Amino acid sequence: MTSSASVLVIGAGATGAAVSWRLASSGMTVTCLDRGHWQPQISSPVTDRHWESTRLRERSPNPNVRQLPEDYPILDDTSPIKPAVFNGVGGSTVLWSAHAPRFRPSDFRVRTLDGVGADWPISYWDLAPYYELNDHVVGVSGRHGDPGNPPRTPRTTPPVALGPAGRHVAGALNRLGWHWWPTDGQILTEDWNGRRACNGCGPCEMGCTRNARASADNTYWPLALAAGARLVTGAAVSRILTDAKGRATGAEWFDVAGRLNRTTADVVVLAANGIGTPRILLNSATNQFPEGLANTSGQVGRNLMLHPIAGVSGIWNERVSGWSGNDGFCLLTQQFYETDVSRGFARGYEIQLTRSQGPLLTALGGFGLDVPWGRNHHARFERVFGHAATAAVTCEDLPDDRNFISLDASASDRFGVPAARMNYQVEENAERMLDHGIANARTLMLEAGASEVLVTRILPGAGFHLMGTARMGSDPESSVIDSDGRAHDVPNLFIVDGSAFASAAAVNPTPTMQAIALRTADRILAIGGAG
Amino acid sequence: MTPLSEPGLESILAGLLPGDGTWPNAADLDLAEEIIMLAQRVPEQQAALSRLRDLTLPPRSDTSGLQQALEQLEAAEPATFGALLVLAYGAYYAHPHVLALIEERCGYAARPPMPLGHSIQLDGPDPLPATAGGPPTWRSDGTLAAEQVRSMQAADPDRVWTDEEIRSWPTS
Repeated sequence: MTSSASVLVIGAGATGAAVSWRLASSGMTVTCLDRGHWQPQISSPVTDRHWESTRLRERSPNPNVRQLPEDYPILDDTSPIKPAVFNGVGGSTVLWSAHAPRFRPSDFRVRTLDGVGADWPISYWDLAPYYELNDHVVGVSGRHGDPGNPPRTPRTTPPVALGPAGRHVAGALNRLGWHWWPTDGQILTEDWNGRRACNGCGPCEMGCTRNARASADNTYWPLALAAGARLVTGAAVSRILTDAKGRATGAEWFDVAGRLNRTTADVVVLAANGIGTPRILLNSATNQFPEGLANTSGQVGRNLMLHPIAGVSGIWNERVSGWSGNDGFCLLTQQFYETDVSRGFARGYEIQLTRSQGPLLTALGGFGLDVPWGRNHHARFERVFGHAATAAVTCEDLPDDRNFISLDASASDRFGVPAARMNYQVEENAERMLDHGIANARTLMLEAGASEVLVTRILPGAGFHLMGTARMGSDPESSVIDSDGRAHDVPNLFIVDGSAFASAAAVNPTPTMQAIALRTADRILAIGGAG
Repeated sequence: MTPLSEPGLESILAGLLPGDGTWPNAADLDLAEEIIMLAQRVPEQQAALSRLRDLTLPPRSDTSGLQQALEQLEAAEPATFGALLVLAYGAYYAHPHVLALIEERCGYAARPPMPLGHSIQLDGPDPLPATAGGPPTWRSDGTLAAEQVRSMQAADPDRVWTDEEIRSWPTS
């Protein structure tokens, strides 16, 4: 079957939803395809007593574990950090913790300022209005006035409560004289816009039956659909189609029954995440584009950046009830965010305080809690459960030749499209940064009164920040898209997900992705889209 | 006969979660149906249960022998052992009696997280960062916008900014 649209968006996650809304609201005819389906928040497994077992399987963030029909394999034996993505309306925001910091201005000028990585062709100041617009759509809790970042407008609701462990750590940060601030989060602490306030249930990444936690399916999509966007679910795009002039003409996709369909469009926007986007581009190779679409530079799939994250868990003698409150964050420190050459590495890291997990994941020793099986199990469980919180040391990653996404035909999805392979190792600069960050996080936890500190050097499941694999740049020989998000090689092809990032910063990327998506939509409108 | 009607299950539950004071021995909780239900969703766990049928484990009464046998299994067949561990813990930590004990001893309410949630402990307003109200500490990127915004932020750190003002900042 063949259908048509002015703009075809591939992927209905954080960025596909934002760009669809912005374009549809401006009168464009938008069709969005997603290989997954709606995930009603009300059906979240957090209402079931086996919710933690479900998190280990059907709701695992790793598609290789989850193995839903809409998932495609991501071969990860060549990476110590495993992928964490979700295929469905809302994309990976369906399974996220909603931590919503912004990049800093220096993050866009890493080559100029520090001689590493690559500069962006746009600045923080280009994105600032779009960060604000995004915040107003999704709703952000927090506190304005952070001296560690450029000013923002007042936040939608007050910040999430620090809780007992957060208070301990906040006091320690003040005594140490380190910067800290209550974290911006896409989690409402008061009722707003038809959504209810967070009730502190804990596992945000399982979905939120109150819609307190924003995800693209409960923020952008209702607005986009109301504006006339068309969303097709169960539509697994295999490749982008091109004409003899090298322009994108649409995409080929499989429906749930395995039938091949085509949707034609004047403009194609890729929003399929830092693995899915290069997979589609590489699988779109033709005689005209033998190395894959938009890949004259050879940079498609290259420059994969994650955030190597260390978990430094403190255990207090008194109970800190780490299960209460959103589990992913409450405060952050950016004391060590910028380059200080005396530390022996370029760029820096953030430390954010997370809370803790439920009984099962605690018993299994999550976040390095070291709970043995056998006769000492119960005593250790009582010692750590409700007594722990974890400092996540989030390190900036730099582009490295050894880190890339490739196609691997040794496996395929159920439609026969080759798997993606994640080729990744932690580069040396980040290793030194991890050493430094772990030492400081340990200092912090001990100052906060923790009686025991446990370290997981690299959290293996933290492959959720996927960046750089179709990066933005001014030079067509070293980048895939230009400052408008448009492919250097294909004038009517745009990329808006984390693939577009030229640098990784040391903070969670979703607000920056969404700001880029909104800005790209405006650039499409400004330049007439098809170019 | 299901694999779970065999002594192997009782042994492995007793070995992994032997009970301690008020905590019950997992083998006494009648977890077989739960374990079958949980394993139905996971092929690796089904395979681990099948493997369990072939194992000869010491009886639960032989605690040191059982400990040693499970240590050997963990070393020799880590995937099987890991799957059995997740199954045993998954059933144990969702059992109503265990959840009630966790509530009693740890304060964690014996119910799923939703719909009721968990009240976060508040002892008055949260503390403020010591740096609140201080001058900007973020690093300039060398642009005109950065210099202008830092200057304005330094002059009035608590200023409430509007969208219009932010849109008026210079861009690259």
